Amino acid sequence: MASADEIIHQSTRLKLMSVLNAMPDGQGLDFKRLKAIAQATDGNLGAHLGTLEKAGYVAIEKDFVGKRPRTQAVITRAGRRAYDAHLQYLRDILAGVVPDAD
Amino acid sequence: MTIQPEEAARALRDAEAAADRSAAAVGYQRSSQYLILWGLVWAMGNLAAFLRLPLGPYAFPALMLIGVVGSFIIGMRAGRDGRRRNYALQSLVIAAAFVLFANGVQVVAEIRSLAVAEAVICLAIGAGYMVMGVYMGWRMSAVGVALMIAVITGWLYAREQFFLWMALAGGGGLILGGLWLRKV
Repeated sequence: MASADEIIHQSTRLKLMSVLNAMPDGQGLDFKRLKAIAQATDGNLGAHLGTLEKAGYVAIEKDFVGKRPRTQAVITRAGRRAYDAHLQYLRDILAGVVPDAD
Repeated sequence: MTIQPEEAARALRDAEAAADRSAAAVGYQRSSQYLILWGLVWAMGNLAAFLRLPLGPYAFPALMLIGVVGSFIIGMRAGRDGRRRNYALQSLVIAAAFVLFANGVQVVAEIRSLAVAEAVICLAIGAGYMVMGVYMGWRMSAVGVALMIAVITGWLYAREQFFLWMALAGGGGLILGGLWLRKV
């Protein structure tokens, strides 16, 4: 049975993971676009991404576009697995198959 | 960690909405390059027709060929690893469908006027974008609506300068639409 993931369940981090999980494999988003698409109102985006990176769910990649430095967040394979498992857990709660949800 | 059903439902709704916005952004990003490319093709073809250049009649077919090759290259660059061939093939099929439709409608409807052919083709493309927008996101539908309005307005109020109008409003509009899609 799937289990709850406290790291992903936090509201802003759940939105960030949802956005990154919908991206094609290996494709990331820079912080500005990630924040806009996730509609993350929390100003502490860097800290949330740091938490996800520490858990191994997101990789922060730095490269250059021309001469301009770019920092991108990319979901990892472990991140996709954890995200899918957490969403399955939420669906299980709604379906009433998680006994200790109440 | 205990999660109540109401909280689970709200989290799932938020997750789904964020995933939808992300998928739309990916689609917009990919489509924007094609819109800009075909906007340039359209603008240059119409300018050639408007200026009555010596090789004007060959401008559109030559530019369409450039558009097809360009679409293929964009598809190759967009794909990664195993998907590279799929994207390139998709781009090629879409571009081929466009060229076949553009030429087929002229043959079947026996259209002799380039302006009529262009108006009909652009209306069909605008309608296509509107339908794509239903699945991809509202911005794509908005580009389709804008293209159709540009064609109808030009046909009604700028028929004498139709090619110039279509170069600016049609081709230019597609380029602007492509740039707008990137801004998500």
